[in-house]
Amino acid sequence: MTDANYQEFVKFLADTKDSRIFLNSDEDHALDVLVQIFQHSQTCVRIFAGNLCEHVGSQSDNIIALSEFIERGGEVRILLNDYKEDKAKESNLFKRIAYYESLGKKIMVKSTTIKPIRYSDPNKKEVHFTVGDNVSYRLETDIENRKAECSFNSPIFAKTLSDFFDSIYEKSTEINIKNLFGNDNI
Amino acid sequence: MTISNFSSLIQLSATISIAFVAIEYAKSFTRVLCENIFKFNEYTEFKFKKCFAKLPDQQTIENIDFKEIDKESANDLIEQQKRKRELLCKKLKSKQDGAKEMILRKCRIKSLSSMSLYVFMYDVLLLGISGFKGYQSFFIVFSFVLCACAILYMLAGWIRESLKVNNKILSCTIFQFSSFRHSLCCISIAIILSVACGFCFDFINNEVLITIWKVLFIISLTFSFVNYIVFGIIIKRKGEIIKKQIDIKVDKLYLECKMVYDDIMELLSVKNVKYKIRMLREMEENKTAS
Repeated sequence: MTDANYQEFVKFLADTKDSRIFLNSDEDHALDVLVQIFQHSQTCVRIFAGNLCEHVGSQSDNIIALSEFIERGGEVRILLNDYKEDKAKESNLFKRIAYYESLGKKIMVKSTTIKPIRYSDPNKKEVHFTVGDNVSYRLETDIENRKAECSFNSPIFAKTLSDFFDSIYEKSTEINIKNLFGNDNI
Repeated sequence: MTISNFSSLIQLSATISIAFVAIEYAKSFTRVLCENIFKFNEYTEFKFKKCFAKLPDQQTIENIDFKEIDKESANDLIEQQKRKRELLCKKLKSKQDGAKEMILRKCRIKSLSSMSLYVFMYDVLLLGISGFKGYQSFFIVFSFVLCACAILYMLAGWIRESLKVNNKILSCTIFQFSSFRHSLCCISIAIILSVACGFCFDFINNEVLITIWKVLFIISLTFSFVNYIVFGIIIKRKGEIIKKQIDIKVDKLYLECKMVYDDIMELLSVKNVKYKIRMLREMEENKTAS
């Protein structure tokens, strides 16, 4: 499927709240799904990732979708298990997060050491995920090759991921992104 | 001269008219005129291109890499300008698409289909009576009145559409040329009038009236073809008015783009000045060292 067709396909699934589970394994395709999760969420998007400084994280479409979501009043919770301060200082995404933090918007980044896996995976590979509004999700089952399974309407599994996320989030350490670009760091 | 001498032309007019009765064909006719003949889409894209060109490109903004100005963090300022540019870009795309859609919507002439129905039925009637050799007096008066009604109907329809271009809308039912029911009523009235006059009058021996009949017939047949040219002119006039509205909108958007451009150029000039200061400092340090 060409990129434009895949984008339309993903948009169609999101617009119609299709409950099918679909797979992808490409950064561009991952970006299409993440953008739609942001565009179709109303209250809260949860992101569990490594450091968000590489690949999809700093793509302008992702940053724009995140910005529009926050400006609509949405909350973004980010949990990183491979946070790298020096890379974050150069990341366009973190610069934008710092900007919204300084405006008092509902966005927070925390760090953890936990590396989640799927019980059903015999190889016990680490997973990353994004959940939108306890309804849509993208679960990256192979973080090296960017393989993921996604759905825009899977409330049961999305809620399971959200609950798992929140249980770690509450115990994790906040990273003050504002200070990365603040006067103390000049 | 008899009506049957012109039967090929009448058949051609009927064929074209029945095609335009289908609303999709009328829509395509408007689209072809707007996009390919009058090139309104190209004009819209050209005007908006001016705004897009004024905005600094994304790569330039993303690579503004200084972090402080006089030991104060500059991140919020830079991110604010980036966000302004993103929002303006989105606004420009949305306005451009809206302008193209507005042109097609406002240039679509609903009465084209219903007037084409009237012309089709008029042509069918003419073809019908052209075959009759007997009752010549009746059919001459019949076609005289029918032609006169057709000419009046088309003139009234054109005038009404022209007045609409200047936003002078006549809301009376008599002027609802966009309705199929209206065109069916008008042709019915024309037929009744023509039949009544056919029975009441006889001017087969009146040379002047026969001449007038011939002229009316030729004019009505010409009008059935000129109908599409007139609508083309009306579409062009509507398009020209919309173009002026687009110009006003684009001028306002251009000012917004210029403001964002100026703000970002300010940031770039700070970057350039900081670079120059650093270069000077390095040169002085090198001099001192040597």
